[in-house]
Amino acid sequence: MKLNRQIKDNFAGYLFLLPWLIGLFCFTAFPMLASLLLSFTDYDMITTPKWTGLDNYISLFLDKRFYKSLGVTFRFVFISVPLQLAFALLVAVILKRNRRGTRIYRAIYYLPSLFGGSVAVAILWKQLFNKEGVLNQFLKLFHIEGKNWIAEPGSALNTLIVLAIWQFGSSMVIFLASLKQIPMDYYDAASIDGAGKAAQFFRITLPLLTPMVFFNIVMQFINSFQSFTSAYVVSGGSGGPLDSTLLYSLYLYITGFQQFDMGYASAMAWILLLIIGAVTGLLFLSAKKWVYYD
Amino acid sequence: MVKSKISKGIKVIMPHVLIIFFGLIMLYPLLWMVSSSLKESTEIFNSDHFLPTKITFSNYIQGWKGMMGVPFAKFFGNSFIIVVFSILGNVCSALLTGYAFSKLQFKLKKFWYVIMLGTMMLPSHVKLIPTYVVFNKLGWINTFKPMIIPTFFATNGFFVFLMTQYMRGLPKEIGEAARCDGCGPFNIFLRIIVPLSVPVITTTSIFTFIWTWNDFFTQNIYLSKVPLYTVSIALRQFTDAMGHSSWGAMFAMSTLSLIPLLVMFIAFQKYLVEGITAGSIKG
Amino acid sequence: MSKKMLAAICLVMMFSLTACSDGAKETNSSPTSSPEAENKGTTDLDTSNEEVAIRFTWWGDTTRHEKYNAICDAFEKETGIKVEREPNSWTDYWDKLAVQVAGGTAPDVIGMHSQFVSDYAMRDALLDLEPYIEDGTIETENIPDSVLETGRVNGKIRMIGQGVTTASLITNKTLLDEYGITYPAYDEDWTMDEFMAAGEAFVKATDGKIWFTNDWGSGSMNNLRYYAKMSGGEAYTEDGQLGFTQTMVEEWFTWWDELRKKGIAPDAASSTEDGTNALEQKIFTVRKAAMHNVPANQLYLYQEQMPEDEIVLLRQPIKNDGSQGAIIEGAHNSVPVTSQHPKEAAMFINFFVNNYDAVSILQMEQGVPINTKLTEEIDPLLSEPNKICRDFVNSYLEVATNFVYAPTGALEIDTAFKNAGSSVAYGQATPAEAAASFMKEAQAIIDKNK
Repeated sequence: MKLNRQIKDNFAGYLFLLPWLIGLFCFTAFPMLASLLLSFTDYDMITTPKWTGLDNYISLFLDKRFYKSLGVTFRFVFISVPLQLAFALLVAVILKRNRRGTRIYRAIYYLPSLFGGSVAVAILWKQLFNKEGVLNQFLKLFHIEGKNWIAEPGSALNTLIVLAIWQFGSSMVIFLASLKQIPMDYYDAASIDGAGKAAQFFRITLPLLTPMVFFNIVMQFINSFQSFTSAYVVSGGSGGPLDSTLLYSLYLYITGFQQFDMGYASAMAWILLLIIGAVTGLLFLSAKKWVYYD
Repeated sequence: MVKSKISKGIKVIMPHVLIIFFGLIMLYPLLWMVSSSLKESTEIFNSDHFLPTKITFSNYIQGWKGMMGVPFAKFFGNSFIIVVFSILGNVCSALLTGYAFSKLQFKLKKFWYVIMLGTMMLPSHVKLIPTYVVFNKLGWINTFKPMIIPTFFATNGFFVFLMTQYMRGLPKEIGEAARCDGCGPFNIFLRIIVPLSVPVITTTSIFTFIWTWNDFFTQNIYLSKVPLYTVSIALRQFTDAMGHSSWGAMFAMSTLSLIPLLVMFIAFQKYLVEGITAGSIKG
Repeated sequence: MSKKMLAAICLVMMFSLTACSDGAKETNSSPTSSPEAENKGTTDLDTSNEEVAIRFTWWGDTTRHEKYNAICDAFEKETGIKVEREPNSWTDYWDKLAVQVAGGTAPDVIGMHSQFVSDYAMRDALLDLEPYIEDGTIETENIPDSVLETGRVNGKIRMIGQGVTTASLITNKTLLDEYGITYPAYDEDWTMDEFMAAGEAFVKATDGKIWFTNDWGSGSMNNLRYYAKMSGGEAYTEDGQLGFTQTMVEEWFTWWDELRKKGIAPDAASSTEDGTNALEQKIFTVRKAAMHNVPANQLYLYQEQMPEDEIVLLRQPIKNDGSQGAIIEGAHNSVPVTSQHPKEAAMFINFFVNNYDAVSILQMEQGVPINTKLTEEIDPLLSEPNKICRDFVNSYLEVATNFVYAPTGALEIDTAFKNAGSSVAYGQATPAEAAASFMKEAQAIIDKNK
C-alpha cells in the first residue's frame, strides 16, 4: 500500500517535472556543459578549441583585472541588493491596498524598471550625473560644486548602484504579489489584540512574507553578480574610467567577445558560478533559521 | 476640534505628498525622454530647456517609417508575437514545475532543485555560442523559435524558482484538506493551486512581457532579416557609435515602445493584489 | 478553467515531445552538411536552386542602412543575384559576427574594420581575394596600389576597401579665427611645437574657457602608432612583436600630460565623459573645444550639427624633425571562408567599388571611394563638406603610409594602453611609470598569445 503510494507520488512528480526536464536536456544542459569543457581549452571562436587543461584557471588567478572586477562586483552586489530590497519592500507595503490612487502610484514606481538597459537609459543617466547634469544643478542651489559623477573613478560605480536601486520595480511587484498571500483574518485578529501598524508588520507581515523575501534575496544576488547591461551601456562597453565599473560579467564579455578568448571567458563564468553557488548555498542554510513555511 | 481635523487632514494628505514627490524623481527620466521626443533634433541636447520650445511630431513620423522599407509597426508586431507566446510558455511550464518542486514528493527532488538553481548562475555570454550552434542545427535561425520554444520548457529558472517559493508559502491545510476529500495531485493543481496562484501568474506575465520586449542580445543574434526585426533591435539601429544617431526618432520610438508595457502593467496590476480572496479558500 | 488548463498542459507535452525528437533527428542527421542547407527550411524565398542568393552584413546608422539597401537593389537589378541584407549597429554588429563565424553561418559579404580584422584574418577566417582579382572578378585598374594593399593581412588580400579615409583634426575655423589663432592649410603640416604654441595662444586668448583640442593621446593604439611611426617604429612588427619602445610611450604620454596641464587638452574626467558622449554632446560640438580627432569622412556629420560654424580639416601635428606618421584607414568588405558563394560575393564587392551607380549612392559614406576614376565622376554630386574631406584625404594620402596589422589578441593591448593613458590623465601615475607598466603588460600579452 505504502509502496504503491510512493510510486504514484514519483509518477506524479516526474510528470509535472517533465517539461522542465526536457528543457534541461534539450536546451540548457548542452550549452552549460559545452562551456565547462571550453573552459579547459584555448578557444577563440574561429579555430577549433585546443585542450589546455587548467591553464585558463591558472592565468585567471594571476590576472590583476580579474581581482579588480571581483572587487567591483562585490561592492556593487553587497550595496545595491540590500538597499534595493529594503526600498522595494517599503514601497510594496505602502502601496499594497487598492486605495484611491495606488494603481497609478504603483505604475509610476514601476516605470523605471520598464526601461531595462536600453540606450535611452545610458543617455538619461548622463543627463542626471554629468558635470552639467541635473544632480549638479540641484547641488548648485546649495552652492555645492558637483563633479562629473560618471567620469570620476571614485564615483562611477556609485551611479550604477543608484541605477540598480532605481530599478527596484521587479522586487516590488513580487512583494506585492506575495503580500496578498497573507490571509486578512490574521490582521483582523491582530487588531483585536490591539497591535499597532508597526507591530503588525513585524509580527505578521514580515514573518509570513519570508518565503518571498528569501526568493528576492536569492534572485537579486544571482542576478546582481551577473549584472552586465547597465555598466555596459553607461561606460560605453569599457568598464571605465580606470576599470572602476568593470563588473565581472562585463570583463567576461570583453575577454570573450572583444579579445576572442572564449575559453578564458568560460573559465571566468564557471568561477562565477561557484561564487554565486556558494553565496546561494549560504543563503539556503541560513533560511532554515528565518524563513517560515506554513 | 478644528485643530484635530487639520492634523487629520495632514495625516491623510502627507503620504500622498511624499509618494508623489518621490514619484516625480522616479519619473524624471521618463518625462525627459517624452519631452525630447517632441523636440526638434537640434534642441534635444540643449539642456537649457526641459520642455520643447516648439512641439513637433516629426521624430514620430520619421521613426514610424522604420528602415529599409519596413515600417516600425512591423517591428511592434514581431515583438508582440514573441511576447505573447513567451508568456504562454513561461506561465504554463513554470506552474507545472513550480508545483512539482513545492508540493509533490518524489525521488531526487533536491538534486533537481539544485540543478535548477545552478542553471541560473552561469553568465549567458558563454552559453551563447553553444546555444547558437544547437538552434542552427535545428534550423531555427531567422525564426522566432529560439525566443519562444524554450519558454515552454521552463528554461528560465527565475520563474520556476518564483512559483516554487510562492506555492511553498501557500497554507498547507489547503492541500491536505483537498487530499482528504480524495483529490489527486492533478485536481489539487488545477482546482486549488492554479487559482490561488493568480498573483504570481500575473507577475510571471508582466516580467516575461517586459524582459522579452526589452531583450536585444538574444533577438539580435537570431534575427538577421529586417522584416523579422523586433522593437528592441530596431531601436538600436537609431544609434550608432560610429555614425550619425537619430536621437529624436530613437526617443520617439522608445516612448511608443513603453506604452504597451505601461498599459499592460496598469491593466494587470490589480491581479497582483486581488486574485481570489484568501478567506474564501478556507471555506 | 480546468479544461482549458488541461488543454494547455497537453499542448506543452506535445511540444516537448515533437521538439525533442526533431532535435535528436536533425542533430544526428549530418554534422558535415553546410550551414546554407541547414538554413533552407527557414527561408521561404530561395525555393529554386538556380537562383543564387548572397547575404551581406554591415554596421551603420539608419542613413547608411538606406544607402546600402539601395546599392543592394542596384546589384540585384544588374546581376539577378539576390542580396539578403543584414544591417546592424556598430557594437551589436561585432558581437553577432563573432557568434556567426563561430557557428559557421557568417554572411557571404561582411563589413570589416581594421580594429577587428586581425582577429579574423590571422585565424584564416577570411577568404584570400587575390584569385578573384587575378581572374578579373574584382577589377583593380583604377584602385591605387597603396589602397589595395591596406587589405593585405597576414600575407594575403583579405578585404577590399569600402572607402579610404585618414585621421584628421576637424577644426572649428570660426572659433580659431575669432581668437586670431594661426594654423596651417589643409594640405600643410605643422609640428608638435607649433601645435603646442598655437594651443597656448588659444588658451590665453579664451582665458582657458575653451580647450584647444580633445584628448586623443590614448583613445586607441592608433594614437600610439602615430607617434611610434614618426619615431621610426610601429605599433607592431611584421612578426607580431611590439614595434615601439618604452621611450616612445613615455615621450607621448609626457607631451599629452603637458597639453592637459596647460589647459590645451581637457582634464581626465571631461575627456572620459567626452569619449562616451553622443556627437551632439561632444565638447567640440558644443564649442568647448576647437578641435576633435576623428576620421576625416565624419566631417559632414559635425558640419550638419554646427551650421553656424565653419568646420575644416587639419592634419595631426608631426614631430619637430619633420617625420610623418599618418596612416591610411577605412572600412572594408570581406568574404568569410565558409561562404558557399564566394564568386558571387566577389562580384558584389566589385560592384560596390567599381560600379558608377553604387559609388554615386555611397559617395563619401566610408571616406573617398577607392576607385579614383569614379571619384572624379561623382564630383558634381558631392556636398561642400564632402569635397573638403575628399581634398583633405587625397592630399594626406600622399604622405600617409600603410601600417602593420596587429597580431591576434591585440585588443587586450589596446585596453592596457587606454588604461595606462588614463592613469596619467587622472594623476595616478607619472608618464614614466605608466609607460613602464604598460610595456610590461603589453609584452606579457604578446608572450601569452604566442
